[in-house]
Amino acid sequence: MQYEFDAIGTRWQIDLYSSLSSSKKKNLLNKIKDTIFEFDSVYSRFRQDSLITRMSRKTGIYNLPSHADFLFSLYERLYYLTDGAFTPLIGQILSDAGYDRNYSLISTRKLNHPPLWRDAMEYDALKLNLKKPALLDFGAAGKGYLVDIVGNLLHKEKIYSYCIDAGGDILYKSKEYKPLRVGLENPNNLKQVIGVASILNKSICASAGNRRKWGKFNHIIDPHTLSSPTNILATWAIADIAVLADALSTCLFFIQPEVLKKEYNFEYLMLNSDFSIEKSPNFSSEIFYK
Amino acid sequence: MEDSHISEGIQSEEKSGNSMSPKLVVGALVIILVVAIVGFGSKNKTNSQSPERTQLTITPDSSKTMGASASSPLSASSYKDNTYSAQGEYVSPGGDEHLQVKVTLKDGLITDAEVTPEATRPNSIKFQGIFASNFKPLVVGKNIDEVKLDKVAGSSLSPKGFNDAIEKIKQQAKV
Repeated sequence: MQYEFDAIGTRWQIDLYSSLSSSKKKNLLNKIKDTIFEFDSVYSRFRQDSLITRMSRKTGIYNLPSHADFLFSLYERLYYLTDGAFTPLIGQILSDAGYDRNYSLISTRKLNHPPLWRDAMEYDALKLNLKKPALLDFGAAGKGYLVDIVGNLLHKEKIYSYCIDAGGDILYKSKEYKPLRVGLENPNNLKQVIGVASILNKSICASAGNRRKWGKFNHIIDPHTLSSPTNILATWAIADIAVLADALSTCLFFIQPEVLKKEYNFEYLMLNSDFSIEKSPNFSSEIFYK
Repeated sequence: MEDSHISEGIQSEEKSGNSMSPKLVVGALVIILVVAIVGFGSKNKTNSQSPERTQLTITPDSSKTMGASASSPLSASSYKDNTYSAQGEYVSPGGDEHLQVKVTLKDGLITDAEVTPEATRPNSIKFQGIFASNFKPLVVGKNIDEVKLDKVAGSSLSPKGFNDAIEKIKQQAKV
């Protein structure tokens, strides 16, 4: 059975490889939607009433909900690993470049480099001391994290075989060990794929600048150059959890994969602008070569 | 490496005489690569020495599909799906050198290829390194309906508001 709905600005498709009674089915959907709503009300940069939006207006110490710990810790670690390229402090830049609440999509202001993490905030055990007003953005890993949270919810309901697809970020579990064939979308032609990856009890996430783009920007902006990278068209990462696959697929735009490989257990494939690829040897896939 | 995708392949009927094994196909490819690297070295080093011999040792990575492949006919789609490794040997100005080539065939097409330098002398290490890092086949897109897929992973669909805004901007730009 399948659920399909729109949330956090994308299309969700959740396949459960088992049948549920109609009352349980409806019940579970409500729980999933509540979980997503609660998450969005904390992290969405696009909502007036979210914690993130409120934090952008006022400095001070904020108490964060329990799921924030993993996300903040991961962001902080990747921030230092990528020399500050992967940062939640990119929020103001994205907004100034036009990727704001109203989708103005016109860069109206001169972009400024984001503040350093240590100058802007201090995070420790669910307490965030915001020292400078900052519009935080968790778009590079938040969706993946939410996919994991929904996955945990299914586990609690004793559902162990499922596929959660949040607009192309996928977490797939199969108790029967049946692999899932996932097409790697050609960013230059959305009716095509450049290959097929095979995943089993893993997550695959992609990052590409092809859809959310406007003017000379897309949603991936390098805080050092204040521009969107052009040498890489798309990246894919396969990891045990979606938050990691999601975050690392963005990091691949900024630093050498070897640096990330030393720290994290994941596989990757990068599509360069000349349509050559780089991939880790164990990225299980079939690629269509010229 | 790509074993999970190696299917049993299409085993065409046997024809006598005009047959060529996948070993030879991969071997031929390795010869081309070895000639290419030697050529590369000589072009860059004004070294006119050509390889004195090219010897190949082919080992399939998986014995899974190798059974009856020895006499597949010579049509493009009849080579056994598998990943093959070959070591190409050549004689550099300093002596014997080799490099490793790994090729994955599926439905008669190369679906993956990898060159691993194994040189021992400084110049050869340099040339093989340059060659390996420049040996980058380009990929192409295939229409989604031609490929059997469960899912597609790509950039997230953009929200309606975003698409509407882009449309508006496009309209404004036209005026």
